[in-house]
Amino acid sequence: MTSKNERKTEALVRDALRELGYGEPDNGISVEEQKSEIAKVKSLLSKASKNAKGNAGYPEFLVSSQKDAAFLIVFECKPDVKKHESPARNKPIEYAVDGVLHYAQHLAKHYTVVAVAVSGSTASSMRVSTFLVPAGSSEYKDLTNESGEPVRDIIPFDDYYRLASFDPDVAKKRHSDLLAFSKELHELIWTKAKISEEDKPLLVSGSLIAFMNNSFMKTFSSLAAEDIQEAWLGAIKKELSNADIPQAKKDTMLQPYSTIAVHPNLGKPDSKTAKEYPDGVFKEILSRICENVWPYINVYHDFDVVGQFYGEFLKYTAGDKKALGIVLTPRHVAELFSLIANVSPESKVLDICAGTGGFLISAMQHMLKKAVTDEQRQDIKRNRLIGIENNPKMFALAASNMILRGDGKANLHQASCFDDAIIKAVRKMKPNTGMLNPPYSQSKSDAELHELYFVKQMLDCLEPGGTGIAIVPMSCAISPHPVREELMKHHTLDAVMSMPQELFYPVGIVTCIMVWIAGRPHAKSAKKTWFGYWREDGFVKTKHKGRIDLYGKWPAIRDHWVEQYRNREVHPGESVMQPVTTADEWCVEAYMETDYSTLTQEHFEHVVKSYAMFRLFGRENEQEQEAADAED
Amino acid sequence: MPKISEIFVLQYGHSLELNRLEQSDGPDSVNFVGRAARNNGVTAKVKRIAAEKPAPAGTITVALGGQGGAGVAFLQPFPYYCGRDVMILKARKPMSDQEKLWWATCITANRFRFGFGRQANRTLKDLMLPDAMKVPAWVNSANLDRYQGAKLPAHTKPVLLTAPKSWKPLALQDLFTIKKGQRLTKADMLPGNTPYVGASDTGNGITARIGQDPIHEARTISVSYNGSVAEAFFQPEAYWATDDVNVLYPKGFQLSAATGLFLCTLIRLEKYRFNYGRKWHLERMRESIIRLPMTTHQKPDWDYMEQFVKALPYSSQI
Repeated sequence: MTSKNERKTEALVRDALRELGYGEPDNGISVEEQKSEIAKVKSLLSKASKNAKGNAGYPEFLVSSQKDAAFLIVFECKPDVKKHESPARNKPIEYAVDGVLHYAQHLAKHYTVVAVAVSGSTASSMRVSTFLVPAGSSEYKDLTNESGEPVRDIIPFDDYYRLASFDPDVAKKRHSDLLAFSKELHELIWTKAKISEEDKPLLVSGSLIAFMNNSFMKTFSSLAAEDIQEAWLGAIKKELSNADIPQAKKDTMLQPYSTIAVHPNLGKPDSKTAKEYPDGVFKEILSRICENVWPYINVYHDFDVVGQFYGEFLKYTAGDKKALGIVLTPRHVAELFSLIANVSPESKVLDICAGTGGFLISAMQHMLKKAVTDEQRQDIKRNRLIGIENNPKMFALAASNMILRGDGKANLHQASCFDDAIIKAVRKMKPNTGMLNPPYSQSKSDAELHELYFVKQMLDCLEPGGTGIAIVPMSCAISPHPVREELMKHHTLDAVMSMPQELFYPVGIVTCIMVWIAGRPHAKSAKKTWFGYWREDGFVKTKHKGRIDLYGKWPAIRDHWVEQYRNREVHPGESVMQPVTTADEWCVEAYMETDYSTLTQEHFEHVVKSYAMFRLFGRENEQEQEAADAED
Repeated sequence: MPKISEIFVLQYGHSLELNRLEQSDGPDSVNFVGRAARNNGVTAKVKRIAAEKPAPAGTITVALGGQGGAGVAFLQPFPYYCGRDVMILKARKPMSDQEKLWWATCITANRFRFGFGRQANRTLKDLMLPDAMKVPAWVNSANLDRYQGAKLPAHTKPVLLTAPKSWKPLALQDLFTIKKGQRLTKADMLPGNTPYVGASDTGNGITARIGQDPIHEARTISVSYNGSVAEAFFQPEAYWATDDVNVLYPKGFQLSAATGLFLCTLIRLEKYRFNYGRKWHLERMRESIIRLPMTTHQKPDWDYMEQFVKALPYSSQI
């Protein structure tokens, strides 16, 4: 069927692919022509012929990779550029674009597909259009590069892959898959292994590190149940020794994992468990993690997988969120911090309460995005991310999180952030950006641990003129406290934004973000502070997924906020500029003008109506209502 | 004693799912009756759909299941659609609305039989009702039109809202003397008829009636500053206010119900400034600023506010 000229187009594509390294041995990429050996692809295309007669049909080229089994690239070729695409894109037999979309939409039931339409029979006349069909969707869209330009050439596999995973729909699907799995895993660990709450995320992060070890990855499924724990710890040990960390830190890091390595429920199964899992629960957990989580680590470097699991596991229990005052920073807040600080490859970011490393990871992503050379990338990972975490288990999580990304680990310290030696070492690195979510309200009697002391400690570590950002309880901005004077004596309060009331749901704490300029006395700077009313982030509470951006409002709100802050805009109901001292309140609520432009007759009507109802029916009416409510 | 099925024709409702319908407040919208125990069973208003005819007005709905509404009967005064597990009862012989309400009350008296574990689907039709000959005489003399006209404004000449931008800022302490409330625990409350104003956002703020003498005067404004913050209510009677509530006494002017309600609206507009981390305590309230329409002499234009409120719906009742 293929005409002679179409062969020419195919040859052009084949050459391009070879040149771009698709054919190199050991790269895990396979290119198939007009057929596929992959069973799932076969079944999806078994009725996909372009004449819609229900026969099998195959695109000219089909590229898959071992890296991510859920991703495909397909090519469709036409010799004549006039046959590139039809106006309605509905003639798959005749036109290249129409054809490739036809196949892509069949494959998208299981795969995220990049669809490439090529027409023309010479290299100079060749026309290329590239589309993306996210898995589970029947909609296609142009594949664009980072600056929003559609892709018009054949490009290397990794670039296709990167651009496709850059797509918000693909990222969303990936996130919800992971969320579903973390629930399933929680259930398994909870019912079968009985691991304590704080060890669960360690189990996941340790397994992921163990998988970095190739021989463990290949052999774990054939190990006996009683040997697997030892092999697991051994693999972690080996990977840590390969990592570029000082010996003392390796020991601190390994310690939390060794508890899991001797946990009795993960060893040889008892007779009851053996019925269901003859090879032991641990192997079951490992193989599920290997199948469902490992691909994310291996492939998507922009994803805080460990933090995600930690957050997910915490949701099911009271956990330590009350006892230790630890509240996990929501991911969109970490993102917001990087934008407020406007991090760049020149930034050096410090987090003195690093937790699972959420701020550092978010900052790293933003810095890498702006990096141009490889040298810069290396520099960012090696020198420009500094973290301190006191809790050994959290430290292990943060460090493993960083190791999994292959970066930043050398500058993570396990110590109290009030340890002079550590602080001295950190100061020497000259950080210029601080990000902080301190532990909240560690008992009123222990005044030394007031949140603002953490803020002060962070600011004291930064280079003069550096930016320090902290999210703290609202009371820090309002109640008098001696530390406020200390802060303003040395640093300038640049901005304070009031955050959504339920930001930390299910933990009930009202917070605000403070932005400080380090090393510049507030009185000396003599400038007004900018206050923002950032109460609506578009997130809503849902039954099973917690507080999420259900309607996709966040990106627009985020950009609006950041723009307001950067340009110091003042709008009634949104923001205000105000000179403040230590004696004043540091929050927008105290100074902003009420937005009377939203006041309408309806406001008055509502008040009059409820008063009239009260006059007519008195309290009987209310009591009846309450009774009915209670029974609902 | 007759069964329900002897007095009414029982028929399953539309069994529509609310999330598949488009909610609407338009003039052509239709009530949607679910399994709720309140608001006459109406849980939403939806757009009319071509494929389904709404059930006629004057029929009775009974929810068959659900936590709250199982076994509760309502007379529907307007055409409506039904959700899942709602039975429609149509009278076999013509009867007055008053009589229908009587039967609805009798059916609802049986609600204890149904609930979470026991639906009414199969047994409803066989429920026994009181003898039809023994409908009390007062049923048919009940006045269903008592509240007709409640929605009317006090006077019909509409008054436009002037642009709030042109209003002038005034500190609350310049308008009012602000006094604190006083705590009274439940154990210390005596039975009586004095309104007790708590930090509530419903029922004009009144959470109980007590036997103590009032501590605040009538025709003042109560504002909660803790709990449900910035709920401002005009209080027509002398009352007791709890310590979560501040009381605003007008300084050198008389507060009418209408001007009081106008002010309440503006005070509530300040709600966004407060939360449980930042309370609207006395000092903050004194310095708080609201904007008001002014006369040419730069005095609050009480007359305009009065006239504006009195042209709003329901103002005939204030």
